[in-house]
Amino acid sequence: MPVPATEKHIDNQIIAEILAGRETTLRRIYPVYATEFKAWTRRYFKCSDADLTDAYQEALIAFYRNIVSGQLTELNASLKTYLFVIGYRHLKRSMKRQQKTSLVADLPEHELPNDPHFLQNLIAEEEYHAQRHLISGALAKLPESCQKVLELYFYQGHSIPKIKDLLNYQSENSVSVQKSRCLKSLRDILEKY
Amino acid sequence: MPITETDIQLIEKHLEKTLSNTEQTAFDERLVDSDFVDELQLYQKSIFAIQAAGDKKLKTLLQLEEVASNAPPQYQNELFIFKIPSKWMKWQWMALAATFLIGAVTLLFVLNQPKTILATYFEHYNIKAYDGTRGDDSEGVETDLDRAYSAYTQKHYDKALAYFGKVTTLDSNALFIQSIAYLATHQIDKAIPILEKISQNTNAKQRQEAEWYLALALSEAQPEKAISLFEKIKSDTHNLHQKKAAAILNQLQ
Repeated sequence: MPVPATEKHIDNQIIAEILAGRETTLRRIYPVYATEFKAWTRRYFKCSDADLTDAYQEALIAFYRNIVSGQLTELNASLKTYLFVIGYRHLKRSMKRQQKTSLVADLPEHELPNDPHFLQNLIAEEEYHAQRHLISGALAKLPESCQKVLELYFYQGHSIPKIKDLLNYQSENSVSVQKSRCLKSLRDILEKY
Repeated sequence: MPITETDIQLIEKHLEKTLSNTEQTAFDERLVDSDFVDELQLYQKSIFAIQAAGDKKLKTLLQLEEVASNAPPQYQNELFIFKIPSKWMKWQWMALAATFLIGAVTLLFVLNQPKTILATYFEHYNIKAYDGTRGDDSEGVETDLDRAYSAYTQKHYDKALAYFGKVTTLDSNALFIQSIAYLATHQIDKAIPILEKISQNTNAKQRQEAEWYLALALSEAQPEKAISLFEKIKSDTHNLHQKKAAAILNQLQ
């Protein structure tokens, strides 16, 4: 179903808000669809409330990551569809993995947005999840100053000048040097994984 | 072929998608070397690890959001609930107009109030006798420090902060009250270092209180640290905030 122009405009404005406000904006979006998502997914899955909450959170994280990494610049489906389908796929994946959630019905094809980029994102998301938990603790082995620079640059997608201001570095060059040094340290840690 | 500094620069630029045409050619040529490919993969894995850690942190933030939204009504804090940044007020009005066009979903989005752990559990700290409210040389004369304490007591936090700012040196009691005023005005970055200092000082009278307020402040920006601190508070059966910390952690599980 096509997304009404005004709704699409507002959803895309949310992308701009997330790029400007990062996590704060995401936290404001959080309660908007939480209840509706749980009601909707209960039509397809028989599982605990905690599993549904988890799936909703994962959908929001995927949405956020795709925006700050620059992979998602415009929503062709509505934000609600985007979150609901990603959450649905997350539940289905976790059902396969843990077998504690059971599928009541399959999501009808027509509920999936007809958008190749959207589907490509979904596949990448599944590959990412397969490995995510294995190495998520590696960054914590670095000093806090390193963690911050790497997170701001490679996760939040902030520019070097912005990081210089955020972390009170003397120059942009010091940020670049620190970033390279910290990335190298992380690489050394992961070499032993 | 051994990995050189130039190789590392090429890999970094490749990951950041900033290779020039000449560098791209050099990068492509190096891909025939298995050592270079191994190095590239290690760096790719590093970026992946950063993303995974970022997701983990975000997940904890959202979990805390969920806990806050399910908190008992007595913890719904009027101070934060009625404070919406002006930018969001603007958003509200814009979207109220748009509601006629796009229906209830948008209305739901803009009218939603942020319910964070800090917003939910923050309580005004009532100054105790041991906190001290006057400077040594203040006999008979009202000092800026007195005015700061007085404004704080009346919950005029901005005014209190302005007076605290006029005092050259604040003792640990005054610093603690100042940090609470920062929290109340949502200046988390300014509150955290003060609360960290007080909570690390084993002789500080407000150490337990400082730890609690620090955990609340950290829940806004460094959720994993906040959880560690909530766990520490929960494990101390004599801690004034033990039950609240336990309730938050129980909901997280």
